[in-house]
Amino acid sequence: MAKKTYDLLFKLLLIGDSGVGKTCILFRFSDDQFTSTFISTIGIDFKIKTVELRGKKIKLQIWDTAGQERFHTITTSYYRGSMGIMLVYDITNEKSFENIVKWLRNIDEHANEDVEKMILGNKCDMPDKRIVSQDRGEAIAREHGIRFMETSAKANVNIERAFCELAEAILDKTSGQNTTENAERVIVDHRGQDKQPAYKGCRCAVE
Amino acid sequence: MNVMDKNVRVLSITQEKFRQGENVVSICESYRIIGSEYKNHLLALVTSGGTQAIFSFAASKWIPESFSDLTIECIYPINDDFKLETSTVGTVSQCQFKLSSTYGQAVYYYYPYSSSPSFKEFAHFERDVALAGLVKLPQPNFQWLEFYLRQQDNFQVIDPRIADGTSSLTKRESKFREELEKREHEYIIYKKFRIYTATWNVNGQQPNDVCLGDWLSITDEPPDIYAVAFQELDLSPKAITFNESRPDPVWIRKVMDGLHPGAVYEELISVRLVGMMLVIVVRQELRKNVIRYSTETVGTGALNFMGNKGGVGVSLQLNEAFICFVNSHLAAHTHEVDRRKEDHDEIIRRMQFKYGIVQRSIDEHNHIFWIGDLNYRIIETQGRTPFDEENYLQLLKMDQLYHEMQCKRVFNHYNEGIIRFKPTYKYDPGTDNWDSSEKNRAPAWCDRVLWKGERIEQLTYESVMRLQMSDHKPVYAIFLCGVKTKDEQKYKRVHEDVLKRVDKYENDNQPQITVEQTDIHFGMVRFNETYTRDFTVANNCHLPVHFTFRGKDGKGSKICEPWLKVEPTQGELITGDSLSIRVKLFIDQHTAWRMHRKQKESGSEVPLDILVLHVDNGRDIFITIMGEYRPSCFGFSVETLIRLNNPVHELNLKELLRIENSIDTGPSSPNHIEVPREIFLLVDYLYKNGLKTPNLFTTDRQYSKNANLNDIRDWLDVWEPGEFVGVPQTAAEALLMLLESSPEPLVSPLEEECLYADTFEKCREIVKILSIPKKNVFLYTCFFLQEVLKHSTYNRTDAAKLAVIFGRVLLRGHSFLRNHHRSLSEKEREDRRTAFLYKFLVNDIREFVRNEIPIAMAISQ
Repeated sequence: MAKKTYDLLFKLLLIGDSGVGKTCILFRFSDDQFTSTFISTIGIDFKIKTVELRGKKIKLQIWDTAGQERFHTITTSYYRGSMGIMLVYDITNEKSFENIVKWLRNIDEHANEDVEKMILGNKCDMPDKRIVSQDRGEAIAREHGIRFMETSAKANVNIERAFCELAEAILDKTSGQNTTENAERVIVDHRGQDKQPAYKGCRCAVE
Repeated sequence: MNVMDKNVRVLSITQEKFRQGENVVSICESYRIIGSEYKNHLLALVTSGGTQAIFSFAASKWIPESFSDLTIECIYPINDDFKLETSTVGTVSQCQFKLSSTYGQAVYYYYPYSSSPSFKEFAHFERDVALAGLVKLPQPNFQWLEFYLRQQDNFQVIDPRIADGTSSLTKRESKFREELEKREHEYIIYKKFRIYTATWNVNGQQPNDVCLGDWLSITDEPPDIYAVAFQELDLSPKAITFNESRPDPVWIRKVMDGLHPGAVYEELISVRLVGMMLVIVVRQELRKNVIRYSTETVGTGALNFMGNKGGVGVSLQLNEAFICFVNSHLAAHTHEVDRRKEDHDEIIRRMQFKYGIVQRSIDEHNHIFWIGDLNYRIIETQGRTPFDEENYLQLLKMDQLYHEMQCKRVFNHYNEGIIRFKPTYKYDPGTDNWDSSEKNRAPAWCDRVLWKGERIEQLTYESVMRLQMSDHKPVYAIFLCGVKTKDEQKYKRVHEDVLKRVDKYENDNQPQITVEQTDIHFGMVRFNETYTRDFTVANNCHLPVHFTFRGKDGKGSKICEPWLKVEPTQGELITGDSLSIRVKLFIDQHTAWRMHRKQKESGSEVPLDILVLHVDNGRDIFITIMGEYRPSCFGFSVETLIRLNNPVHELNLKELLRIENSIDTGPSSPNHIEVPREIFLLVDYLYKNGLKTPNLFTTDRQYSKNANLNDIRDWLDVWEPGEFVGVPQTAAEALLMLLESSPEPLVSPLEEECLYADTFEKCREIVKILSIPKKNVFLYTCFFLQEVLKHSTYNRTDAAKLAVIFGRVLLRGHSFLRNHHRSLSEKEREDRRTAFLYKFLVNDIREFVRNEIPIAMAISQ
């Protein structure tokens, strides 16, 4: 009578250029810790974390990929089977932002068609070094119809939220709800006018 | 240091493990048997603020010399849950005892004599513990233990049995249950439920107008659960013969009508075997708390099967507790005490409640209520003592059941309330008068209610005189029972916390492997040479790991490029072990062209491949194989080779690839030649020096591993007009390798068509439409081979053999590329290739060659 410790298992993937903070984001989410020493991920790591969404226990298995250029081909073979993908760039690194388009193309080519995506502009705790404005991040997300958030693994901004929203989007899909709403939901998250605009909340608190 | 000093030290060392105000009172040495190992443990009785606990320490050294030799392994607070049991029944050793308390339990063994005076002998230690147990504070505070309990949690020990793979890691699901159980005290409360048990032997009577309210509804408070037992519902032979098991709706209706009017009730389940029936009723609002239930019947009558005697039972789970009700009708007659015991034993043995595939015996319940007509009588002394209406309770001393239980013959560990009612048997039906029939049965307390389990309090134990239709009077007993219940709020919190811990546990227990280096550098590598590099993988984590090199394109795909060989490709490493992995690199004529495609850039070191080292249930590590390939003439198409203006030696791979890629588009080279120089040089040499060499070409390619081939490679790459550096046999092998190494076969793209060309005419048509360089080389080769055949008396070769050898090389085909010719077996393909080439070896092709490539003739002549 092995009681399962979760109701659903979602497989998520973190992709993006080397050094944008994918591992830190994952480490913050799974262990609530941050380390500033940079250790390049040479391979594929994963962590698990169980979250509760709408009364359902969802075990997230999050795969952290190597960002280095030479591993790009090989990491794409891990796309298939993942239900949600976080595309991470570094707001202090123009190139990493420009490459988002390339990463999106990779997803189109290698991931499941209905994979949920989300763009994260990480390191928003460093306003002095910012090169990519939040508007540009939002614009690219809107253009591709993807959710967007600025995050900081260091200052713990929006990390938990990002994962929960991505998981929730998958949950919507799997439970067959909101199929009609999806068309709107994919756009940058503007929830209810009466409440605070949703992505205002995503705006980096540190700024 | 003398012995005495050392011994005193153990106590003070142990004391060092604790904080101020926490005092080690007594220590005792013991050991545990784990698997086949004996492990020393130090037990310490510690007191703080009036509460006590026993700490069990695992010792890395015996006798411990420093506090760091001791690790807390379990803590047993001396509270209500605490038990120190020394029962040795059915055990391995007389010197054993069991400790149990809130956070766990374990069996320990002690030595008959202490090994040092610092340790108390077990008997003394036990006495100290017993004394500690006597201290009962009104509100004992065990909070000081939290500090150590937390420590225990975070302490990740390397369990040697897990590390070496003899025992496996607890699975996430079991860990979760284990953690939840460990913290039960944080969310478990004992909720009081009022349980009403009742039993009546109705002597085969129909209920008619009887009202059971007098029996079932005589308390102020409505009970939560009713367990109503009947015996002798139906005494008909028919019912007995057919082991009637359909619950009797008439009696159930009567029961439902007679329940307490203060609550709404629902029949949970009724179970019947002939005369015995047990009706379980719960308050409607409690129905949802009964998570599951199961019934069982055991007949012990005739043939030890018939249901005129025996028992029926209901097992149910209420909240977190399992409750069992048994209604039994045991063997009758005063002298049948042993039969009753047999029935009792049989019911215990056979009453196994089925929950799916799991069976639950009566004893496997938290609360057990055993009721019914147990049929025990009054022990008869010489003649029957006349029944004394005033002092009948005196007779209880002569009650057979009382005696049987005293002797622990039946109903072990069961309790019974004090009987304050008259014997319930035997009356003249319709009256309160003792049996006046011929049999003149002596009065007895046949009908009883017993219970076993924790947190049960009996409120009432009575009989009902007013119900007179039977020769028995009904009996009832009311209980308050503390039922293990989850406090949902608290449970949710603990549950969340445990989930977090289990997540962490799972993350922390990912098998890990350390790779000495993730970049393996081969430096400059060349065609047809073997290179090896070794690297080490090590297991530095606390679990055994199994690793495999994994294919990059899913299951079954190749783990590496064809020029690499990895050994071993998988392995098992226990904690602390390491293993050397060997990577062998060898670029041959089959893989050189692939290497060219892989290495678009040349000059600096680039990845020749990336290996994926997969750890089971863990991460994947990428191991990059770096190197720089220095190209040779092997691996290029004849089209590329004829366009070279410089020897390969003077070009880098990038330039070579540029030439190769420009074949379709680029302008043709001014120095355009008909046949690649490299081929010409080899053929020319053989023509002049090798035609008479015995076994120049062999089907088993005897010279394919010859080291001289690399000298020839270098010779070819510089276009040196100097003397040839090999012998005819190696030159012949080099020629085959060169033809074999081109990205596509010489007859490409018509390799399939060749297989179906059955006449020489058709074969020639195919050759005609080949690209000019390919055609040139093809015919040039055939022309040369015809020359070879002219000297067959010397070189001992024949056309058939040559056709086989060169058919394989010139017509090699990728059968997997073309599905529609799948029907040919590999053998057939080979035969057809041979047949194709054979035609060009035995027919006169001079005319054909002259027409197609006049210059080629010139070269060879």
